[in-house]
Amino acid sequence: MSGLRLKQLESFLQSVEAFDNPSFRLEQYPTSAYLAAQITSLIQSQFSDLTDKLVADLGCGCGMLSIACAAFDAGAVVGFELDSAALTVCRRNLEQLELARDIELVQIDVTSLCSGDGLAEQKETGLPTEQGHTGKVEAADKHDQCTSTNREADQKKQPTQTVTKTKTQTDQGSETVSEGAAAQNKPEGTSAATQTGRLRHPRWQFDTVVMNPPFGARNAGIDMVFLEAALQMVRDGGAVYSLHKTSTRQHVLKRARTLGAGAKVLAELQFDIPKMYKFHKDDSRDVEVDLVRVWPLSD
Amino acid sequence: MRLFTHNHLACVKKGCKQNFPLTIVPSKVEMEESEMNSDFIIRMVDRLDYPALLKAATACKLTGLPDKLPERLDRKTHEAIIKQLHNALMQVHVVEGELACPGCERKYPIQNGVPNMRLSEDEV
Repeated sequence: MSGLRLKQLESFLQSVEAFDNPSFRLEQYPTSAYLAAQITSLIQSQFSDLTDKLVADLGCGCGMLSIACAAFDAGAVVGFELDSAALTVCRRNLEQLELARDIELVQIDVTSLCSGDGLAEQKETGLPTEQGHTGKVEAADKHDQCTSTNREADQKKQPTQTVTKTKTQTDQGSETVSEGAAAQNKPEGTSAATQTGRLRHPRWQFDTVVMNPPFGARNAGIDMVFLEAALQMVRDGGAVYSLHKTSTRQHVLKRARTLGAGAKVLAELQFDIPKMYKFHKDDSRDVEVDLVRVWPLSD
Repeated sequence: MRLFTHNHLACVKKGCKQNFPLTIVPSKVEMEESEMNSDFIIRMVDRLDYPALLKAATACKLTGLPDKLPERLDRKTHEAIIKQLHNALMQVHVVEGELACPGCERKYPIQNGVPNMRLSEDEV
C-alpha cells in the first residue's frame, strides 16, 4: 500500500471493528480510524519508522493501530494484548482484512513485560528515582504494577548476569553511582551500570513501538507503566509513539526523561470517546490527546 | 505464532530463572509463503538467539537451516541462507500447540496462532 493517501487509509481502517463489550477496568477505548490514520502517516512521513520496521503495538485491543502499521508495509507487527475478548475481535478483524498472517498476536499482560525479572540494564540516567504520579498506583490493582521499588528488588536478586549482552555504548559515567540505596546495597563486583536507569528487555528489540495505552483514569499510573515497558522493548535508535492526555503532558515528558529517554510532543489530536459506559453522561466527548515520541538516549 | 516471535518470548512467571527458550510442542503447524525482504531478515538476525531458532525449527520439523550462521550475512553471497531464514522466521506458523518453560515447566497454550502468556491471579 505504498503511496497511500491519508483518506484512503482512513476509509480502509473504517472496517476495523471495535470492542464488543469494552472493559472499563482495562480502560478499553477504541482508537478511531481517523486517529490511527493520522498517527501512522505522521510516523512514516516524518521519521520513516514503519515501512520495513519491526513494530510492536502494546495493548493492541482490536488491532486498529497494528493494522494501520501493516498498511505502511511494516516488516513485521506484533500486537500484545491482555484481554481475551479484545483478541477475539482483533483476530476477526485481521482475518477479514486478510492480515492474519502478517500481524502476530501475543496474549500477555504488558506490565509483566517490564517486571524486572531477567531484564538487562542499559544505562545510567543520572536522574533521581521517579515519584509523584506513580505513587498513587499502589492503591490500584496490584498486578498492574511495575514500580521502581520492585524493579530494584529484582535487580538485587539477579545482579549481573544479563548486563554484558546489552550494555553498549551508553554510560553516563560515575556521577550518579553514589546516589540512592540501590548503589549502597550493590553486591560486590557489580558494575555501576546495574543499579539505576534504563532497563532493557533482554530479547525484544523493536524498531518502533506504537500504543494507545490506558490513560490511567481507572488505574492511576498505568499509562506510565506502559511507557516504561515500551522503552524497555525498543532498541537504541528506535522510538516509541504513544498517546497521552494533553492534560498530563508535563508529567509524561518528565517521566520519559527520568527513564533515560528523549521526548517530544508531535501532535495534538482529538480523541473521540463515544458513549460507551453507563457513567458517561454525554453522547460523545472529545478528549485532547498528545501524540508523543519517546526515544532512548544513547549518550 | 511465527518463529521470530517465539525467539523473543520468555516465561513471565516471577522468579523463573531459566525462562528461555520456551519449548514448542506443536500440534498444528502451517506454512504460508510471504514475500522475502532480505534486508529485514538480515536486521532481524542480529537480534536473534540462533540456537533457540534451531531448536524451534526442529520442533516444527523444519530442516534446511545451517548449524551455524556466517559472522556477517551478505544479501548476495548468502542468498540461500537468507532464504532459509526467511522461511523459518516468517513462513512457519504454529497454529495450535503449547509452549513449555524449560525452568518452571509452566505451559502456555497456543490457540488460533496466539500464544497465551496471561498469568492467573494466583501467579502474580
